[in-house]
This record gives sequence, C-alpha cells and structure tokens, in this order.
Amino acid sequence: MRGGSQPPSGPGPGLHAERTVLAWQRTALALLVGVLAVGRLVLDDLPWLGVGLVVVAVPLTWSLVRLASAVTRRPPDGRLPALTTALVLTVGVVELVHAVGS
Amino acid sequence: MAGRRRWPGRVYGVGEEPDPRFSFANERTFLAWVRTALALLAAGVAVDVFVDDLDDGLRIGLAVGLTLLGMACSLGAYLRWASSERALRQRLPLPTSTTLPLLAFGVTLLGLVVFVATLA
Repeated sequence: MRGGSQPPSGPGPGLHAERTVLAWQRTALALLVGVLAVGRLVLDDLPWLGVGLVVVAVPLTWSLVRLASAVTRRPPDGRLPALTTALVLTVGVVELVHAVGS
Repeated sequence: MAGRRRWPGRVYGVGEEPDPRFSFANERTFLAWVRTALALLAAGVAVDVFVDDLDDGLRIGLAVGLTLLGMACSLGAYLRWASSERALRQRLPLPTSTTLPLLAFGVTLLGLVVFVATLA
C-alpha cells in the first residue's frame, strides 16, 4: 500500500484503494472499447489509420487495463494518467481525421 | 518501488506525501473526467456515423466540436490532476477547475447549435 500519514481516526485507506482500482479498471475498459470501436469505424474509409490505431493503441490500452489492477500496490505516479490522456487524445485525433476526411 | 524515480518531477519533487485517501480521491476525479471525455468522443463518433438527416457541414461541425470538447476534457483532466496532486503535497488550497466551465459552455453551445438547426 502507498506511504503517507495515517488519518488521526477512522479506518485506513483500504476502501478508498479498492474504489480507486475499480475506477481505473472501468476507465481502462471503456477506453479499450473506444479504441476498438473507432479503429473498426475508420478501417473501411482509412484502412492505414484504422490498422495503425489498432496496432499501436490496443496493446497500450490492454496494458493499462492490466496495470489498473495493481495501481494501488505501488507509489502513485504520473505515468498511468499521462498514458491514459495520450490514448484518449489519440482516439480523438483519429476521429477528427475520419470526420473531416471522409 | 525503491530507486524508481516518480514522474513527473514537477509534481513529486515538491512537498511531502499527502494522506493517501486524498491522492486516491484526486485520481478518481481524474478518471471521472476521462470517462466524460470518452462519452463526448463517443457522441462525436455517433454524430459522424449515424446522423444522416443533417446538412453535411453541420454534421461534421457537430462531430468535430464534440470530439474537440472531449479531447479538451481529457487534457484538462490530466493538468488538473497534476496541479491538485502538487497542491496536496504542499498542503495548499486546491486549484480551481477550468475544465468545468469549459465543459458547461461547450455542451451548451453545441446544444444551441442543434436547437437552431432543428428549428431552421
């Protein structure tokens, strides 16, 4: 569990840790669905973009799903939030290219 | 995780470790914003793919607007997570959210566009 001062009274961070893990998992799964859906959407009109998105983003998103389960067993770090944001922005860019280009 | 430098240094290089409950709450807030961003992206995709009875320019504009709003929410979520975590570590007041008024204004504006287009 992460370091930090214990609260003066009440239970420890146990339930908060569980809620955080669940929030990470459902966000990562939603992101995986989004990447697959947008990748499939653009595959017909812009195959190179669809394949590129699937090849690059799906493994990264799947890694995020797996890492999300262990997020509270290591000190907090900005890498997972940054990766999550980068993946969402990537999906957005692909959708923009599809909407404007097709 | 001894020896592994935490990133970014701008956040973890200042102050001291806060109560873990506050860090968890900050992360869950970030994740809620990310899910909001994904919902906006999904709405943009839905308008792009499934809406046929709007003028092409309006349809594309709406899809682009929703997608850009989703991307802005995602980026704003990360920046807010970083600035909040930094404030927690330094026991400073939490920064105000600029993403919240952006989201409210953006959704209102897009809704007005659809409303006017429907009446026209």
